[in-house]
Amino acid sequence: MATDKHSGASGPALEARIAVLEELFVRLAQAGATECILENGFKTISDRLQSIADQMAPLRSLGPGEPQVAAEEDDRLRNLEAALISPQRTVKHWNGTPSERPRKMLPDRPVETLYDTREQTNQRRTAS
Amino acid sequence: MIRQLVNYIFEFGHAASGVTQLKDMNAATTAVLTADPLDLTLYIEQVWNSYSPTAGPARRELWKLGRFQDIPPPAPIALPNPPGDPGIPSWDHLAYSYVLENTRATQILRRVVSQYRSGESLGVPSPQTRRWLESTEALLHGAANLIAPWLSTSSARNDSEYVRRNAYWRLLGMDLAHGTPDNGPAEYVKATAANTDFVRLFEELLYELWRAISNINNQVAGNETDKDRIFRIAQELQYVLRSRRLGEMLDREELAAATVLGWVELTVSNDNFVVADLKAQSTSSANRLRMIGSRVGLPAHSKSAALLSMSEHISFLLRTIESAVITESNVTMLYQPGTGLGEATRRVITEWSAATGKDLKARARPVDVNRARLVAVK
Repeated sequence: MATDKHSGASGPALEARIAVLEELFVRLAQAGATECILENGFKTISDRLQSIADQMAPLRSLGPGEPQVAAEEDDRLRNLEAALISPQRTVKHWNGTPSERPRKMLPDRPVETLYDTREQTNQRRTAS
Repeated sequence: MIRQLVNYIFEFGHAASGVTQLKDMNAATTAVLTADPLDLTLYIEQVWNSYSPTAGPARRELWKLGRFQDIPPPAPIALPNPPGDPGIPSWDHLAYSYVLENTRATQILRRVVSQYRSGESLGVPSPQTRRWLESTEALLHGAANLIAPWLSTSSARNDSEYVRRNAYWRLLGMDLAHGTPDNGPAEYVKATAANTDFVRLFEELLYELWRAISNINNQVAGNETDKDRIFRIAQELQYVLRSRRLGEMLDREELAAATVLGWVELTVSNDNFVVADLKAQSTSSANRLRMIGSRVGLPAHSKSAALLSMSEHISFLLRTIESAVITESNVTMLYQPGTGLGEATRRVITEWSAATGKDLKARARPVDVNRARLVAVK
């Protein structure tokens, strides 16, 4: 039996691709690239794309930045890496430096309470 | 904890064990596999005491006699704070034991010990394998152990596998994929206070992390990374996991499980004397386990390769989440490529998908472009 099929996008991957293409065509049109294809050929197109890439630079700065890691958290993470990651693997720390594996005994400073209630977390979020 | 012991000997050598050459993994593995079971027991007791100093003077004196007494246990990330706040130990997470035990390796090695002890169907073991058998009986099956408490078994709960199943159920809300060695149902106490929500939360986190990884360089359209959601799920996981650890509950069971499964993992990690005696030499741990399983008539899990491969990484990832390291301002650490934590996350996503058959990289419910819309008010 014949069934109707929708002509619209059918999946998130396809939708994403269409969105990217739309974005690209809009940018090309804004930059006058279509006229350039007719008048100057593909070399100018690559120049135009480069200029679009330059225009995108401010957007790039909005991307994921360096994680802000406090000293105590950094210390804990290094201890976890030293204890739980096999030394045969080449491991880098979160900031890209090769991870050192100091063998430590118990920490010298008193260990603070880690147990954090939701109220405490909310207070921290409000404070930050 | 076995893994940490081998890693220390690998990095720094250990004259008392006869390992003078550094960075020799085969020598480090052999040194531990042929160690006296009492020395191993004393070392594990030392590790436990560095986290929860409860040993009396007699026990402290005793472990000074052990072969590994000069190897410092890795420092705990945080000590438990009386009267009940949980600490963060530095041994492997219970999820490490869970994924390894799912390969059915403990039952397979149990059968190996049983067949070696009861006949000659597996041949005559070499002297080194005889020592390994003694240690395996002591570590896996609690034979004549001088210091029993860390085994977390007694006449009240006398099967260590059931103790571990109980711990898996309580902390991770999961049962093992197999039953008893004769394929009967495993009967153990299923506590009512269990983290049955763990799997849903964890898979949701992995899905969000995969979206973040795939968008890490996406600076223009359609970046679906949701850092706040990743942080909230990680925080929820932290609460869920730590709620089962109040008052050091499950800590000793976790150490016992990490020791047993660490021993199992070490046994199949290379072509050592046990593997050679069992004629199961191969190029990977999963293949060695499969061949040993076929020799004793107990098949390993079909996804053993994925389970073995992610054990170290899932341990690191979950312990990091549990240790309150992840905050709103540094949540990108979880998926930063090229770093230890980022790589662990990625490996867990890949292997968890392979082991469970769930495609974590696909949206659980596709976007419905033809969904019903609100009608206009007339």
